[in-house]
This record gives sequence, C-alpha cells and structure tokens, in this order.
Amino acid sequence: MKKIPSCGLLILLSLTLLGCSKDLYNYRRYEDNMYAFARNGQTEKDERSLLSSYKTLVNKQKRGRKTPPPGTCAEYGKLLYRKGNLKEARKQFEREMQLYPESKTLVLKIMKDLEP
Amino acid sequence: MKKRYFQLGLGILLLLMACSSLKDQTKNILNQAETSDKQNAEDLPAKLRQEQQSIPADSSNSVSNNPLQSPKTQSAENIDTTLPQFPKEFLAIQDMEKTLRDLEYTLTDHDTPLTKNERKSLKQQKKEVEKKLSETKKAFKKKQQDKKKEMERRQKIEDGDTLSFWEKQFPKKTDRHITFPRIYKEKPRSILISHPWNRSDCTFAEDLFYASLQKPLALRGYYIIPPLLMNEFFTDTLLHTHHGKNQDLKHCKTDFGADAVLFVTIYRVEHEWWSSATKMNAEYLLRSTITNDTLFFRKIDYIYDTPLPPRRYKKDKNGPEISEEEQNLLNVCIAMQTAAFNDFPFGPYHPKHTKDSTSFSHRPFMRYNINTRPE
Repeated sequence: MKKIPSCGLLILLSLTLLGCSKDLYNYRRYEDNMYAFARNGQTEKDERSLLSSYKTLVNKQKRGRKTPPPGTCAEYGKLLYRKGNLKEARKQFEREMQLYPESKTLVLKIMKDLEP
Repeated sequence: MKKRYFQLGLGILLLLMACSSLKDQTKNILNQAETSDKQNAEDLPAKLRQEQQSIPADSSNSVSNNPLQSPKTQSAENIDTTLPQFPKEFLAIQDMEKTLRDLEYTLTDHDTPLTKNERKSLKQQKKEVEKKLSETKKAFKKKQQDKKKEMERRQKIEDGDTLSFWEKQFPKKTDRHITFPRIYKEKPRSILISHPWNRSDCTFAEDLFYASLQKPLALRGYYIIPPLLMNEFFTDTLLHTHHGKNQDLKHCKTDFGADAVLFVTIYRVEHEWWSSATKMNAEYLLRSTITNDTLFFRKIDYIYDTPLPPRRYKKDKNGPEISEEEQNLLNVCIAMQTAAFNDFPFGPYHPKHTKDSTSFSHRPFMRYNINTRPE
C-alpha cells in the first residue's frame, strides 16, 4: 500500500522535471530537414518540407527565449525569396537583424545581392 | 638391467665433463684477450702516455669554448647521453674529473718522489674530490631525469593525451574558466561553421555533420551564421576546414561578422553490418577571428552501442526522405555533437552567460570515449 504514494511522487517529480526543460529553442526535426535538403540535391519535396519546418520554427516557439532560433529567419527568408515571395523574404531578413544584430553584415550582404 | 643403468650414468658423466671443458675453454679465451689488452696498454711508449695525460687539459679548454659539444667525446663517466644535457653542470663534472686524474697521476708518478705528508694530503684531497664528484653526479642525474619527465609531459600535452589511467577513470573537476580561458576573455557572440573535412570512408559524413552542428551551439546561447546562407560562399576554399584550418581568419570577421570559426575534421563514421555499434571520431577546433587563437579544441571518439534509440521524434508522412541507415547515423551524429559540446561555455543568449565559469568541464586537450554499451 505504501508503494502507491511513492510512485505518485516519482511521477510528479518526473513531470515537473520534464516541464522545466531548459533548452533555449525548440528545433523539432530541423537537422533531418537540413540533411535531406543538403543530401538530396535540394529537391522540391525536400524544399517544401524544409519550408514548412521553418514556418513552425519561426512562428511557434514556446520554449526558453520564445524567439526563433538564430539563423532560422534568414534561412526562411532565403527560401521564400527562391519561391518568389520577395516581400515576406525581406520581412524575415529584417526580423533576423532585429533579433540577432550579429547577423547584420551577412544579411545586408545577401539582401544587396538579392535586390534586382 | 644393472648394466644399462651403468651405461646411462656413464653417458651423463661424459656429457657433463664435455660441458665443463667447453666452459673452461671460453673462460681462457676471454682471459687471454684481457691480458693482451693490458699488455698493449703497458707497452705504450712514455711519449704517448705523456700525450694522453696532456689531453685532458686541452680537452677541457675546448669544452669551455664549446659547451654544447657532443658529450660522447667529452664523456664524463656514467652519464646517459640520451637524456637532456646541462652544459654548466657537465663542465663542473668534467673539471672535477680532470683534477681527480691529475691527483692520481701525481700520486702514481714515480719520477717525482713525494714526502709522506704530501702523499697524505694529496690522498685526502682526492677523497674529498671523489665525494664531491659523486654528489654532483647524483644531482646532475636527478636534474636530467626531472627535465626528461617534464619533456615527456609536454609531449603528451602536445599529442593530446594528458590524463593518466587513474585520472581517466576518476576525472577531477576542472573549472571552465581554467580550461577555456580565452573564451571567457574574448566572449565571442557569433560562430561560423566551416565546411567539414571528411577523412572517413563514409561519403555523406560531411552532410551529417554540417546538418547537426548548428543546434548544440545555438542551444549554448551563441549566434550561428546560418549554414544555408553560407552554402554559396563555400566556393571560397578558405572556408573549408582542409584549407582554412591554419590560415588567417580576419576576413571572416569583416565578410560575415563571425567572432570565431569552428573547424571540423571527421576521421571515422561507420556502422558495420555485423555489429550493433556505430563508431564516430572527429576533431573540433574553434579559432578566434580577432586574435587567431585557439578557443576550444576537442577530439572525440564516440561509440554508440545500445538498443535504446539515440533520439526520439514523431514520424511524419510529409517529413524528409532519408533512408533508415542514414537516419540512424544522423541520430548518432546529433547525440555525438551534444556530447562534444556539453561543457562548452554558455554564450550571450543564454541566461547563464559568464555565470558558468566554475562549472564542470572536461580538459581542453583530451581524447575520451563515450561508450554507451550496456553492461
């Protein structure tokens, strides 16, 4: 009979520990998408799955800092530019620069190259 | 029966006799050789002997002119020439040996007869010199041994193997500000991951590493220059680990805004069909773009051998197309990256930035195995 409360305590403890995971960002399956994109020669299907993963990474961050992980906005912007969505791409680049000022030199360089 | 035993005994006796005679013969030959050497030495003419005796004085002069001359020609007795040499001490020993030889000569020289008192004082002097010589020789040997040990220790550090067996089994706690002092001094904010150098047999190892390196560093609170954006700049070979590892990195600061560059060399990525173990071996080198100094170095030998999956995730139909073999390798690779950077100092985006200086860390130059094989 004494085992039941101790088990409950253990479960509670594990749940609280799980709830307090200290990761700054939630990357989901970013590595898989990146790997497939790099390995399969940037096919359309992989690009699509990478775009959808970036969308969730950029917009649905509930863990740690609650901001998109470093570099994701810029990468998302570049993929959007490839698809022809210039307005959204610029928005994402600016967001990256706003969130991470370290990216300014590279992002400005890329924006300069992308401009018609 | 008795006759046979008698014959056997006789045979053994004869054999023993023959052996003993052989021994005697060899002894005689050796003795003869020794006596002939002695005779040769005695037959040397007086002039030659005088020359021999005058040699030490000349040689000592030559030594004082050139103290780093090879010790074999100067040779003080019982000094191991393979050990590091200390010219000052060596010269002191040589001087003492020379005075000893002079004293011996004056004592044994029958041309100039000595009085009893003179002989006594000379003998006493000789004893003192001998004592002093043995002491200095001992001190010299000890100094040599210490120096040799120090040199071996330095060589070990250079090779990357700093830990003794005991220290490997029971690692001491080392503070991060001691192991990575330059990171705490320079406080880099952004890291550029250079194109990995694949030296393994696995053809897609560089893709595995390049895809999995960003996350562990970003989770430590650093800004990682986006790999997807960097792809077009990889036409510049200086951004490849193979070429850029030892080059000046200041252009990375001006061109990409990176405070540090991470170079990765992959040595092994393999999963044999007959084994359940996945083996990976890689080297990580983080260098500053401002000072070109090494901020972080790690060589990791990772063996994943357990029925538990290295990573848990939800399978998605619309997810990326990766074969099972590659997926397994990627999962192990991700686990390896997190293990390699688990003591990396926190970056500016982490709440513990600069507060982790007294936390546990592995040593900077070390090789360690992570074997997750169940016992």
